[in-house]
Amino acid sequence: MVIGAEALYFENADGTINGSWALKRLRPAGAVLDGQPLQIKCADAGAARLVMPGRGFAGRLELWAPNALRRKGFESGRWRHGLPAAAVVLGMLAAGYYTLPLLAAPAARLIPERWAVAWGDAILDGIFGDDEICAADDGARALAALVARLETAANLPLAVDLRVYESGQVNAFTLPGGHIALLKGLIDEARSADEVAGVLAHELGHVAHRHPLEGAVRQFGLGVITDLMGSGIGQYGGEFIGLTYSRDDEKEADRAALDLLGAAGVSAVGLADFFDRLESKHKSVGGFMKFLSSHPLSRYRALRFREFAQRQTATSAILSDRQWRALQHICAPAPADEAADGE
Amino acid sequence: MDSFEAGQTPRPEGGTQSESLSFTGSAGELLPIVLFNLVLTIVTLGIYRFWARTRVRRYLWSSLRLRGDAFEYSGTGAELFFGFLIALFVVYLPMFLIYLLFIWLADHGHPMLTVALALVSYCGFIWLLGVAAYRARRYRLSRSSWRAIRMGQTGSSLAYGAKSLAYFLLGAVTLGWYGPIADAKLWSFAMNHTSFGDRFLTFDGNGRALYRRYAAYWLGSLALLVTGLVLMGGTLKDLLALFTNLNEGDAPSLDPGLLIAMAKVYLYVVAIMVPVALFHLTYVTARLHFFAAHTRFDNLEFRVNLSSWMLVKFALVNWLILVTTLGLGTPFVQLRAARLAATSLTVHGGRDIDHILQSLETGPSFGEGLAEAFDLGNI
Repeated sequence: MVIGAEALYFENADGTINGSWALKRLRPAGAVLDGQPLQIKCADAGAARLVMPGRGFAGRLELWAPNALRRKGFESGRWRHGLPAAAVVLGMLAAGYYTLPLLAAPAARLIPERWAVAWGDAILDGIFGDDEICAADDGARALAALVARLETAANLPLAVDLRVYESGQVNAFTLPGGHIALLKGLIDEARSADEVAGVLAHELGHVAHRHPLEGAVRQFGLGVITDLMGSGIGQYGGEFIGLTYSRDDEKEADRAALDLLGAAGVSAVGLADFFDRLESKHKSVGGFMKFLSSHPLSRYRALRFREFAQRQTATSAILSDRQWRALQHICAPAPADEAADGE
Repeated sequence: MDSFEAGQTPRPEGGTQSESLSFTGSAGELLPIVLFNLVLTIVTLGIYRFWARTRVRRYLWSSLRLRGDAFEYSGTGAELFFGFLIALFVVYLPMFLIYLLFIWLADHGHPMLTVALALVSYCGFIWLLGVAAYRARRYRLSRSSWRAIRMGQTGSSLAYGAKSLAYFLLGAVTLGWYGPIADAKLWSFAMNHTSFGDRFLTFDGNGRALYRRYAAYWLGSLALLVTGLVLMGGTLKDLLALFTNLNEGDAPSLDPGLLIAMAKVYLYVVAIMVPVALFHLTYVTARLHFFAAHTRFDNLEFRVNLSSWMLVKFALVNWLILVTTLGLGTPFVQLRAARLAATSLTVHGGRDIDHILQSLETGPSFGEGLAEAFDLGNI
């Protein structure tokens, strides 16, 4: 065997050349291990392999044809090639991160409204199943009046289906298809109808911007990408990304809520008070948890609401006292009693 | 100009009574590979894992020698990556569509159809697992060669998947008694379709010989389970009572009684599962012996020199490695498996296999995408 200027030549015993492998086309076959015979192949020579037991010839071949012992890029196993390739991949992932949300909105618009409504319905069924929907007459009428005043001020792309569920939790959430679930615990925690109106305005903000459906489409897309990134490492990254968008959605819903309250002539003070109370009840979470949670801190939100309220003129309570008491009893079958102290 | 005389490489002659594989790999050599893989996988948010897996395989294959010559793994990370992308469509798209179908059915109130769809999906999933496993094996074999002679696997992966689904259902119906026959049939299908060069391996056993060991495992496990349930009975009743009380209130209270009861049940379960797993390993050992004894390549016969105790020790250390490294130590487990295979497997018969011709099948071009979708990577 002779290493020529351009190729590896195979000589017969009598000196005649019986074949050659171009130096540039040599590649390692299998892993290149210290102390083990070196196996190489030629990209043009198919399955043929050359095995060199000693270190001597391999060392010299390395000088003339380093590609015979090394791979490129991701296959190389060397930092000098691996890290730049990894940087390129990261760049592509980052590009995907920025373009994906742009795709979620138009993609969500492609989904027929009927499907979204059915989906939201199914999810609510799944969560609440056979639980009672609170619908005592007076309370339901009061709620309808509250929502109507907000809805006329809004420009909603779809019809709202608002339900009150008899749960002690202080929560309200929006699902695809215009479904809003308001939990009794929140009505109990609120001290005035304005506070409930504030929370509902926020949820209506989600409906107006189609957050639930877009969020679901985004999560699906992100889900595909995080599965690409594999279990474990990639999925935490995907969750961070998901949370960031959730926070953006919340901020947008907050802004929409303030617009709504302003247009409906309801003071945002109620909303601010509500969040201040929530904030002091559940001590603020610190640093890292702040980053992980999807809702912006109650304290900052309350501040913004209060600032807005101070600039508001000509506001009026969204419900009368009687309507408010009726709403507070929306889950009770008995008629509202004026003599009884509602609290 | 550089020249080199090709000397006579001393080579063990054919015609000897038995050969065995030698494994020259070590954890020390594997460690830098694993660390590099880890860093790059993190930096690329997981995308590098296909190349990582390929590098480990390449190292393991090249550390395995028969008659002084190493095996070669010629797969690439790109093949695995593209296979995965293709599998995304084959698996995720149908799954998403089925999910939509479920919602539609639930919304339109078709309880019977919903149940039927659930059953069909479940069976389809098991079938897909079988297909994926067979395809993954085919990919790995087609990328393995020794002295430039390639291995391969023919046979329909869809048929294999169907068989594994059928055997799974039969196994469920017979409470597991069909197991040994199913194992033998699946192994038979795979082995009879496995080629080295232009010749195929053959397998001619049926599972009946395994029943003695299997019965010991099955009956022993049953006895353990029954004993466990009897002993646990009191604790389970308490737990049930505590849970029903829980449903009244809104927020679960951290009742210490509840926690203790749950901890007790957990310990009981572990105390039962561990011996059952050990019993199972004795069956696995017998099965390995059986498989080796009935597999042949031309006139070459195989023998496995492994005792149940050796396998148990092997499994325990592997489990320890995986638990302490949180799964990152999988390549080391693969290394140990390769070493165990090399030291316990012997080939008998001595027919000169230097004359085996190159197989003409090139094998599938994309990696085990389907198996990747199910996370079936083992070696």
